[in-house]
Amino acid sequence: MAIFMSEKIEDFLWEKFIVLDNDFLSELFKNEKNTEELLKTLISAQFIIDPLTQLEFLRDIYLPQQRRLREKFLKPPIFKIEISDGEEFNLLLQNALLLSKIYAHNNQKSRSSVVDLFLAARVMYLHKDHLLLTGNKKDYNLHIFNTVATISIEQGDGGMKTYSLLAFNKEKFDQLNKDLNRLDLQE
Amino acid sequence: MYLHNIDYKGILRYNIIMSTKSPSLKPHYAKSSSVPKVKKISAETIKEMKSLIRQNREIEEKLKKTYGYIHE
Repeated sequence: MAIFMSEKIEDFLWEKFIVLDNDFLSELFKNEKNTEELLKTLISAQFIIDPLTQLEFLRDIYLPQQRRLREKFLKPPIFKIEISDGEEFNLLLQNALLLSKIYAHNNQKSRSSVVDLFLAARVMYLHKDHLLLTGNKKDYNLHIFNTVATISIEQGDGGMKTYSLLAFNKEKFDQLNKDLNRLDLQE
Repeated sequence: MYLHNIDYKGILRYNIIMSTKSPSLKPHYAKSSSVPKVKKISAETIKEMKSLIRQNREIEEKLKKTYGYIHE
C-alpha cells in the first residue's frame, strides 16, 4: 500500500509538534510497513497525543490483550501525551468554548465533537509550533484552520484516505472573534 | 392573546443573540513553547512497534476467522 505526501513535508515539519487526531493514530496502528515509512519521514516532528485522543484510542477494546498492545504502542519516544495542569486545562476549556461560539456562526456547530473542540483549542493555544493532523478536516473550521500539507495512504480496499495537516490562522481567528464581540456589544 | 400576535422572529433572534453572549471570553495563547529536539528513534523501537501492530492484526484476523467479524 502506497503513501503519498506533500512535497518537502519533511522540511516543513522540522522540529514541529503534531497533535494527532484519533483517526491518524488508528491508521498508524493498522499497517506496520506504512507506520515505519511515516515514522522515518516525519522523524523531525514530535507526535503529540491529547489525553482525550488517548481515551478515544483505548476505549471500548473488548480483549484485554488488544488493550495492552495499544497501551504499549502509545509509550514514548514516538508519542508524547500532553497532559495539562488545572490552570492550563481551564485556558484550553475557554479556548474551546470560544471556538464553539465562532463555529456556531459559521455553520460548524453540528460537525465538531467535544474532543475535536479540545484538539482545536490546544493547537490554537500553542499555535506557534503546533499543527493538527486529521482525516476529518471538516470537523475543524476551515477559515481558522488552514491545510498546509497532506498525507494520502492507500487502503486495503484500494481506496485512498487523505489526512490533512492543519495550522491555526491567528489573523483570521482575530477577525472572526472581533465580529463575535461586535455582536455581543449590539445587545 | 392570539397566535398571530406572537413575535416568533423576535423570539428567535433573542435566543440566537443570548446564545452567543459570553462572559468576556478571551483567547489564550502559550507564552513560550519549547522547541523539540529531533526524536532519536532506534531501529529497536521501530521493530517493537511493528511487532505490536502485527500482533494486533493477528488477533483481529483470528477473531474474524472464528466469529466472522472483528469485535471493536
